[in-house]
Amino acid sequence: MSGATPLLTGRGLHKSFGPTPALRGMDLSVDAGEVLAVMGPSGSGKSTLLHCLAGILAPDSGEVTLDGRRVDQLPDRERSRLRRTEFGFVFQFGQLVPELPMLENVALPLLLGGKGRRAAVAAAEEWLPRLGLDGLGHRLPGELAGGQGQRAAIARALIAGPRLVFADEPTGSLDSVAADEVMELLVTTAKDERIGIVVVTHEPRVAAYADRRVTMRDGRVVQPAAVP
Amino acid sequence: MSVPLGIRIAFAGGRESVARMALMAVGAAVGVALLLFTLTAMPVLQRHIDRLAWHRTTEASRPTAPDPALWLAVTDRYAGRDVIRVHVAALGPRPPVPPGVARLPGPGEVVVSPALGELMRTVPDDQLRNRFPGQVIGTIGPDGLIAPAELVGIVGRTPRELHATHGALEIRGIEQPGKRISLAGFYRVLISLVAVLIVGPVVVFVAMVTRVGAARREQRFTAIRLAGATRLQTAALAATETAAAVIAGTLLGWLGFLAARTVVATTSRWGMASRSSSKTSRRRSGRCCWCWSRCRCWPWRPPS
Repeated sequence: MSGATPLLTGRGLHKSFGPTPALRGMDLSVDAGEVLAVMGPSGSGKSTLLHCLAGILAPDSGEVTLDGRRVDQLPDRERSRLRRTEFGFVFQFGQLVPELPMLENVALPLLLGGKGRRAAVAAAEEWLPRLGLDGLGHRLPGELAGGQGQRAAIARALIAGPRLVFADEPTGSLDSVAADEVMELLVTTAKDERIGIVVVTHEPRVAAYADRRVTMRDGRVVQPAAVP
Repeated sequence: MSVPLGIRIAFAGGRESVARMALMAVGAAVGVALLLFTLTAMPVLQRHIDRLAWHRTTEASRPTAPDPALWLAVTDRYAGRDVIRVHVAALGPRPPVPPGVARLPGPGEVVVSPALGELMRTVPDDQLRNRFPGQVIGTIGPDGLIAPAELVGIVGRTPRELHATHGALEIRGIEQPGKRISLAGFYRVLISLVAVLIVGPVVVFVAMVTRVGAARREQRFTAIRLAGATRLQTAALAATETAAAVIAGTLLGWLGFLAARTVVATTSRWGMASRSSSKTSRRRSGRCCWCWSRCRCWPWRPPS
């Protein structure tokens, strides 16, 4: 981590689901443009941490700040705006809308932000060649291969020019070749655009793309490690 | 943005989405049609009762014309259907006139309902036509008929003929519709019944149809929320999707109601004898086929 002010910080994060604690006082920060891998076994709280940092879940206690501003207490409308403009998401199964063709899926953050359909689709079309999806814009998600779906999810995550992309097991449903392609594309494109990435994974080969790794167990960080 | 996107998502999901929407629309259509039929039942019944009023004419009916008339109403059967025959004789130039006819038929004249006229043309004279002696000079209009299929005829007689006939009454007026049915209490019960028996099952049906695509629906809205939709936008998308099916279903149900009510109206036997008892047994018992009791609401009481 550099000495500059972190882009996103989580401090003392606690989160429980009923009697089961998922986070027990997590502290974590991400710098602008940094690729951070959060590793750990299943049930260690990785996904919960990501959801809390991204404003999808509200922590029971602790705080999340973006550029020094609290975001965990923002109303739904503001958190939705953050998800649309400051953050992007790539999850294990792409999280594409099954009824919409890929082009409109990629354009969705812009459409929800109020941009006209024509302009939003035009912006989406610019992203397809960069991610090797040329000519596939009119296919439905169900007609895409797993790697293609994840690349569409990456395009959707990046289209609004976010500062941070949250990726939760982005290669979990892919074979190793497709996984390498997707990570290569995600990291390369994010670096080109100076976008930070928080990637949750339990695969060392995925974590190898990161600038920094932290390992979690039972809702706590057990091993911060800087990547040489 | 949410509404057009919602409509697009609702119809863009291929056969599964279209099937789900169609089932939801059918559920709504059935509910709307049943509700409309239920809500129109009482007004229809009231109208039938009003049209039935002239059949209850007796010597006690309030005067509706300056001159009296002789009146003998009988009912018999043809091919399992009730045939109402009213013998009349004017006792002056301005006698009471039943609804649906312009004037009281004179001696040797007959007016019949359209259904009776049609039936008389299609069966041998000695089976039906001979029960209505005289020349058919016109038809009874809708105001004088309970239903289009009603078989009723008014036979003009001379006063002398009817004076000599046992059971003929001297009337000064045609019985008019009475007080309207009080619907307030009825509607309270009706709404409860409709909710439980009709709308309830339809709601369950629509809910079950919605659950068919629940997993995909959840996936869709999760994706949309992740892409930055607010709760309000997500709710608007969901509502648009459901509203599209419900609007289509409501339209379908309304059209179904409009189409089916014609059929129901022409086949309805409300207000007409529906029990399969013979003329003789009914006459012997003196029971009304409307309420099946010894009442004065139907002119089938045996002449005393």
